[in-house]
Amino acid sequence: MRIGEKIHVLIVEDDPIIGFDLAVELEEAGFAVVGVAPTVAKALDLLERHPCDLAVLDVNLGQETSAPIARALVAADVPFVAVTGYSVDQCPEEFARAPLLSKPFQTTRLVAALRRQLHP
Amino acid sequence: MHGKPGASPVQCAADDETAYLAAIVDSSADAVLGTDNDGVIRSWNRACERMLGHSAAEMIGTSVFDIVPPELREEARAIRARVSLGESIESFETLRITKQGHPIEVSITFSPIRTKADTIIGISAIVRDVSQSKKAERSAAMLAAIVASSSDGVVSKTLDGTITSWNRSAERIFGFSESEMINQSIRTIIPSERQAEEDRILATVISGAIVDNFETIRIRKDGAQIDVSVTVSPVRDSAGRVIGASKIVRDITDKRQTREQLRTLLAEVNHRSKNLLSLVQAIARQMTRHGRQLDLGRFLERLQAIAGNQDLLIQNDWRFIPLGDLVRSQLGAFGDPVSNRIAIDGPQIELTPEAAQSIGMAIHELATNAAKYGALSNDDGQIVIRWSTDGQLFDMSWTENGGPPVSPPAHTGFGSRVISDMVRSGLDGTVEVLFPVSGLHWHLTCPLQRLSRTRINAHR
Repeated sequence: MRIGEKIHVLIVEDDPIIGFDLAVELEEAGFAVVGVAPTVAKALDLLERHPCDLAVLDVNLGQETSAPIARALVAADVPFVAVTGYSVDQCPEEFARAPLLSKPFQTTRLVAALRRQLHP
Repeated sequence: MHGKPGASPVQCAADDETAYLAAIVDSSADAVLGTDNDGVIRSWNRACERMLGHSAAEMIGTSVFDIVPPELREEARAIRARVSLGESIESFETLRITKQGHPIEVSITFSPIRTKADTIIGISAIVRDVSQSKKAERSAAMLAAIVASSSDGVVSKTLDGTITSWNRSAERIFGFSESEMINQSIRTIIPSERQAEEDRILATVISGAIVDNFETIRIRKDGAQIDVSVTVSPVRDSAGRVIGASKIVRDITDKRQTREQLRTLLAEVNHRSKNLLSLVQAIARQMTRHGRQLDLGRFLERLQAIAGNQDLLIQNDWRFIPLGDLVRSQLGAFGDPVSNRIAIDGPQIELTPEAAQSIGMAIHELATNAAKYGALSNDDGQIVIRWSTDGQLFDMSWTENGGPPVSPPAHTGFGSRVISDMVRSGLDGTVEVLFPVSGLHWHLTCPLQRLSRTRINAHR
């Protein structure tokens, strides 16, 4: 991320309406949304093509979890915030160290969590 | 011996002996009676009186068949005929009637009564009341049958753990046959790391207590571990000493699996309900963007559309939604009168829950738009909904005709974003929305595997 440039965020969310809503909300809050990925494959593909500064990961993607994306983000040193409908103890260990927001949540809380990840 | 005193020639020296023998018979614990060859009773000892109620005075001179139940008289006659020809019949089990009219179970030994000249002059019968032992035998047989047919494994063992019985359900649960397990140690079915359990169980039983519904793990013959619930009770001898243990084993593998499935299901319900709340939140937020007032009617219609999807999902065990059902369900809200104006055509495709939500919401928004401004807003308009797949790509279209003349909308609201942007990103596809004057045309193309896990019935 360069000074003066927008912070690039990847959104991983399998529900199209929730994903769309998150993208609109985050853009409104001043972020640049790299894309909304509903699957692990799509997310990894987006990550490869568009460098990003932050990510929001929905833990459960219907047929899979976003654990592989979490591993890729850790490897690439990209901080992320996890969002989930599961309780904390039901999340894969890849999310143990990431801030976890329980659905549903207000955008302001997500934005605050994302900013804390950038400036701990 | 038996029979009417003086019925045979007597000598003086024999009189004492006869009286002596008669006294033995009379004081015998077994009922002893004598008859002539025609069944007329000649002697009837005190045990007969105790057992059957009639006194000797009442019975002597009467027919022995009076104490035989009518339906057994033929049988009694046949037996007596054989005995009067010289045969002895031992422990014949039958019924006799008491003075009070009650049948009792008896075992009778019949012998011919012979004179010194070997002439048969009558029949003696020693009658034993076996109703108590018969009753005990029956209840033992019943208990054995209950144990044998019990769906629980029933096993008995000595105090050092040697197996002494092993029923059919134990065979089924553990895979070891009865012959394989009798005289073997119960420790055969206990995993090595749980051997100490058996020490505790035996100590508990020896102390006279019961081990009740103890849930643990045991090993089958094939080496598989199974979840069982065990109840172990002491077995005592008649003096009350604990001499062994009986063990009832229930296979609770299913129960444990059910419990685990339930836990998984509850976690899933938790996740899904929170996701639904997020979805409701997202819809409300998108509908009120830029300070717009929430159109409550439209909001509730959209919630109903989501609820409709949920019903279809439940009908299919939360695994998939058939596309045809989804389309019909979403259009159902617009009433029967329009159904003959809507043509639906496409192969059966099982949509994932996520894809069903994208397509279901899109159909809902398209139908709402058609009812307000398009082909369903007048009496003549028609809609053709068609989908197909080549096994790789999925192709679906919504084409309106015959409605009021169409022009592109002035601004894009939540509904138009649902049918385009959301479907596009949700299904990794391309969406085309055209507004020719004849009617709206919506066209979706996406990879089939984005919306269905199964490839069956992809072609028609």
